[in-house]
Amino acid sequence: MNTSFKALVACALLGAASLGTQAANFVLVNTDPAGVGFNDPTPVAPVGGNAGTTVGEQRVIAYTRALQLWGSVLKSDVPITVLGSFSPLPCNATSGVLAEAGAWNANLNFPNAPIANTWYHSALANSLAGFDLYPGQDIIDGADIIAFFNGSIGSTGCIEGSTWYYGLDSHSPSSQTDFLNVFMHELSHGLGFSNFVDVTTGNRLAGLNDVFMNFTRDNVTGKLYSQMTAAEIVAAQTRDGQEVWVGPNSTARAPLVLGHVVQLSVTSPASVAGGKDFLGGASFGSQPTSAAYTGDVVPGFSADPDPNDGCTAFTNASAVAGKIAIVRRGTCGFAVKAKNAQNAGATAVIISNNAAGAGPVGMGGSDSTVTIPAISIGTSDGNALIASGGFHAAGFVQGAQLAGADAANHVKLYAPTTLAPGSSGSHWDVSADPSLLMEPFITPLLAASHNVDLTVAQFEDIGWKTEISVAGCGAGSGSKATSLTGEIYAAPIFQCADNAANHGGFQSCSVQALSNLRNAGIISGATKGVLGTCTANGGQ
Amino acid sequence: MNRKSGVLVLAAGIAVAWAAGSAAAGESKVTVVKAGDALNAVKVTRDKDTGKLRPATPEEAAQIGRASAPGYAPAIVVQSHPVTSLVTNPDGSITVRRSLDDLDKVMISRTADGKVRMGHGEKGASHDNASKPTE
Repeated sequence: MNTSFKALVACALLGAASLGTQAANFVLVNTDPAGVGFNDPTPVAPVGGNAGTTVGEQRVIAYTRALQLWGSVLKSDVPITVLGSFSPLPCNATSGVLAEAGAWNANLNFPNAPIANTWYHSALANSLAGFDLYPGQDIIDGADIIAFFNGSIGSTGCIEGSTWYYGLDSHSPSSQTDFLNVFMHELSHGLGFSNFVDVTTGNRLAGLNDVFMNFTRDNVTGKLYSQMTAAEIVAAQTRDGQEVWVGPNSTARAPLVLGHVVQLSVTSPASVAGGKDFLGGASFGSQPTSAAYTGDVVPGFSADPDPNDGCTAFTNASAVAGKIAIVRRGTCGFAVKAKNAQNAGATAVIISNNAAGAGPVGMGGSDSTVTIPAISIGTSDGNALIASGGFHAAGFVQGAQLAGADAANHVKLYAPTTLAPGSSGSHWDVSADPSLLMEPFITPLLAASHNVDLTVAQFEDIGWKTEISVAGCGAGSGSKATSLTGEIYAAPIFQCADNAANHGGFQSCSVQALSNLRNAGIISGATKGVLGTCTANGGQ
Repeated sequence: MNRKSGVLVLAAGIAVAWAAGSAAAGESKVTVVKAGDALNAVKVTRDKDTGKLRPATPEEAAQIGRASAPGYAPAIVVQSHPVTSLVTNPDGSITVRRSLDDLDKVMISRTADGKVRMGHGEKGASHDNASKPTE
């Protein structure tokens, strides 16, 4: 679908939401000194719906917009206080601190606490209790969230040329960092999308569980993190693909947001036929395409201890030439194997993992002379395919499982095999497709101004009360501020928009999508009616 | 600056600047409080030995003042929660006051090919490459 059509659909959805009462209010404490950060008087032109005419004004407006977006979805009778800054943070020409953020206080055993002896981010705890549990000695001490951003980014000596984008439309140029996306992500951490575990030791905050741990499960042991020892947590955090979020709201809505995995289709022989999970994205070679992986596949043989490891010149180059080669991981680099396959005349290469029970792996390494594509598949699949002596691949097909979830639709959490402090455990996994706001890497595809995908569902899982009613369609003073409520239905509607050849196709698809949402109990019948009108108008 | 004097300075420095728009019924209202220069009266530095944030010594504060950057973070923020600590509230609930070192850090870097990368944690910006095996 073209961009303008999608924008129309988005506008229709954004205009659809009008909220009831009890929206959470925020207090932004501007901690910057005069002339700096939020108070920077440097003149600038308005950009992307941000009408500010100084750098400082644009920062306040963008920051405020993010707070309004979440405030319009979350219910709380207690204002949420955020300490904000755009003062310079440590930085040099090649690296620096972009942001520092998170929950400033956390509470346990408060009135109405859903789970005893469990830490809750203070904004959520206050909301559940109905009053400010810890007003503190001053506005700083008692604040709920800190979110400091580096106002020097892009200036001389600090990642020069890569500045913040303060537009409110999620349309940042590729050379700029979209502030709204980054802040919505960081703000979400502060509101509840994070655990308080020391990921290097597995130690709990003050020895007690946090609410995030109660919904984080290791599929290998079947244990929740709240049931694990510190050593078990350390071990679990690097089981890539096995750590999942078992919150019921996120699980129920995952099919509405996530697409399906793409698999390599093997059509013959029958003994190995079926869809095979794979990973592309190797740091060498060309981009894998379905066409490149359509054809006969032949195991590569070489004079190595493992004759299929592809670490030296293939001894069966004549059989491989013009076909897709499959080799096994081990002994040498992925790029070396790909180069040997290419030298044998292969048009593409499949590299099987070699550790028992391991799935596909992201492949690093570099060799600019490798021009064929490479994909990785899991050990079990790879061993069977190599043992078959050769097979036929029919390109990439959609699998049954959701991309970024396990077979039970539990959304996967980020748990790379190399522990990543700051990222492991407190983000969705990078296998999610489309990309999610709470993945560890902010991608240009995110559009937090109108779609926060599964984040609201995760908030509901940990106890937040939310407002998702829809009262009318059309522009209004609050239309943009309330756009987050579109997150639940925006994803399936966008899928309709992506796939529709014309307005009629879009309309029939969106009618079905809204029926699915209604049947799933996500929206009311009245909301469905309103949204049906909005999407019909928006798609014209 | 001790806690009490810090609070007094803060109170004197705070001025409500503006509320962001006139929120309609049901909309979220954001009130912006401009804390003022008082928050930055004391400079903060990262200790070279411990790696932790702490108030700067007078000599360090003077050095920070001469530098183009006005400091790392508002000193009162660091002084407010210098270390992670527990408080038992009158209602019996417990609050943990986290320190800046507990917070999520997002790093940015420019790689040799000119691309800008972002990621969480001290090594966040280089994590994606580091975590991907080469063989």
